[in-house]
Amino acid sequence: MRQETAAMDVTLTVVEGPQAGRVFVFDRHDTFLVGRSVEAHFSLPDDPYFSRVHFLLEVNPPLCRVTDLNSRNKTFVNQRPVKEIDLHNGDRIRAGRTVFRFAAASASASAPPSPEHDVTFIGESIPTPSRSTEPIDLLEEQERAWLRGLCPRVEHYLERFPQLAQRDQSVLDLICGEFELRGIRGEDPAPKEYEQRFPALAGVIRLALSQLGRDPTDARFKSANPVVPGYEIREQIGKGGMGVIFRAARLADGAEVALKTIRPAMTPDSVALERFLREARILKKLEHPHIVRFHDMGEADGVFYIVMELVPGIDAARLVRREGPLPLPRALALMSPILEALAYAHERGFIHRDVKPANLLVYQSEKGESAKLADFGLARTYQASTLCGLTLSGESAGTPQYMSPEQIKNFSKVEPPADQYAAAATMYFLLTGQSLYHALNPNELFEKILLEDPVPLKSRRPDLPPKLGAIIHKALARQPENRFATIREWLAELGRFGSVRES
Amino acid sequence: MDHSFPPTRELHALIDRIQAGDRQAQNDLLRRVERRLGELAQRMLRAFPKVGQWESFEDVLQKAQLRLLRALEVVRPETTRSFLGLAAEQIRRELLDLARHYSGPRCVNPRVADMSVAAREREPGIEPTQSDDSLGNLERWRAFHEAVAELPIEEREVVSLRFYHGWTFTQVAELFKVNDRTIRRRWSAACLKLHSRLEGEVPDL
Repeated sequence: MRQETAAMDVTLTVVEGPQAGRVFVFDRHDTFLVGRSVEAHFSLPDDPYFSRVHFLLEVNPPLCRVTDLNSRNKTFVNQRPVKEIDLHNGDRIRAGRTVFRFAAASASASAPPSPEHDVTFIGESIPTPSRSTEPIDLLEEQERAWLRGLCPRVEHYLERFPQLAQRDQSVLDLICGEFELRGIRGEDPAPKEYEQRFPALAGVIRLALSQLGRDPTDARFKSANPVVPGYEIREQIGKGGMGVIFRAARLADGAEVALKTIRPAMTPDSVALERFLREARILKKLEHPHIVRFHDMGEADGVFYIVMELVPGIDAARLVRREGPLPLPRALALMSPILEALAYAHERGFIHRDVKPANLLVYQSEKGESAKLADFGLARTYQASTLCGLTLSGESAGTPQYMSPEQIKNFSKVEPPADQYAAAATMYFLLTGQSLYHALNPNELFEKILLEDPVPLKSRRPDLPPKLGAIIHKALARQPENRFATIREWLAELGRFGSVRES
Repeated sequence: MDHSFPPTRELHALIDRIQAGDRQAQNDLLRRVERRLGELAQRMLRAFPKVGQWESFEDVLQKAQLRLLRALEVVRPETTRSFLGLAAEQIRRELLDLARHYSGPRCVNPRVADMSVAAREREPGIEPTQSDDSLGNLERWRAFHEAVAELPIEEREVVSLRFYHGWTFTQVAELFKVNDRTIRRRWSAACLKLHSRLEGEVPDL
């Protein structure tokens, strides 16, 4: 974020309130916290209408998403209270007595115009008396967003275009569109779900969706099954925030590998693309027995792909869901090699940025059960680029449960302590089967991560040694300087609770 | 999803051959229509578990085939699109006749009608008439087929190809040389009109 007006991508201008006239310019993927808290980027300690943490902006020019942090007096976009919404050129955000105006400099390329009251939609069957803007092709927009992995739900469009509530045809178009696009992404949505989400249209939804299903002639399917030179795609084995993971064979030697595709949220320019590929290739330097090996990457037909070591097994999130909280020795046996791997990487200047149970791949080695850390450094490379769009929250994002407070506040400047926090949150999950915070929605979760301490480990696992809880909670300190100085130091403390098995 | 018909380009070639008087091409197309009609008739009558015992589908299909043959001889469609429209119309009419037949006053199992009371007791699995639910659904089918005929032409074509021929939206868009999204919008528009016309009484599709 910069505070001067220069060549820019996204601008936030304070147009009303005590700090009217301030301008914030964003030229890269970043976050921006607004509230009374002195830690907020935009702080108004004396505005009684502001909550301590009021709303959070995630910016990846020209995209921008606002998430209300469960504020008492709500966040408004264009006069309407919002929980989470993607911004459009010209939108006005109000919190307390302050109003911001959002502008995307490259709006012509990507950010859609702010909807006007007489907006018209392609294909709508009602006559429109006047038309001051070009009609919007909602289906095209929906299709593009889904194929890029953003996955906006129909409700997102209803919130963005309140006029849609009166236009059954357009809503049904979107419902049918979402139903088919979910099929393309490998889901199996039930028509019943849509009848419940849109009860006023239940009957016609039943009729319209009854004839829709997975259409193998749908040209859009091609993008779900990439053709990557040098590899034979065999089957889809997983999905993540960035894209889809396939089991594939490397044609040169027949070796089985994991091939992960990344769908860009926006069409990157050649400089952004080259930077992304260059940064990702540096990851090849990471060689550790508990870091999933990075083999290759490239771009084929508009799809970026990463080829990695195939680890036969199950990720720790699924393991705990299937077997429940793990006994301490087992959790230690899985976490110790992961912490070793993180220490090794930190000592070489690499940060993972996305440590979570789903990135711990549990496998059987000759010496017993062990784990490897997947997606090392990829999150940073990916998120630093314009390829990912907005990832902090929303349909396409993973859970922010493992994200440290400083990562939420300073998205573009993450240091090793953020990995320590995420690893501690992961260990907490392995031991309890639960996340650090009870939260009903991402808004409440962000607020709690920023302002509250996690639920104490002892209240969920009273059988564990109190000292262990203290060690884990130290790694979870909200201030990075209150955590262990290094992961290795934390690992040494953990070693007191059981033998750290080498595997 | 059924794919009774070949890709559009292959279909164009078949129609061209029919135009040139190729009987084999005509038979190929008729077989495809017949298969699709069979599937739809079974779907429509699936609430009548015993219907297979007392009504031969082959008879129904043969009637439809003859009807289509006669129509082909009279109309001789010039384009693939017009052929498909004609075939869909025949399928629709045949299904409508079937629905009327089973939901009308003659809806009595003919075997049962001829059986003595004692014989009926010996074969309890055979019902003299269908349940109200089954008849209600068939009545809804009848209304559905009638409502399709009332749709504006562009929407009727999409419903015909999607429902009566089992085509995908991609195939329909290719045939009409329009964007996929245009076809999807016509489908939604048609569904809204059908639902309104049927006053929400939609058959179990």
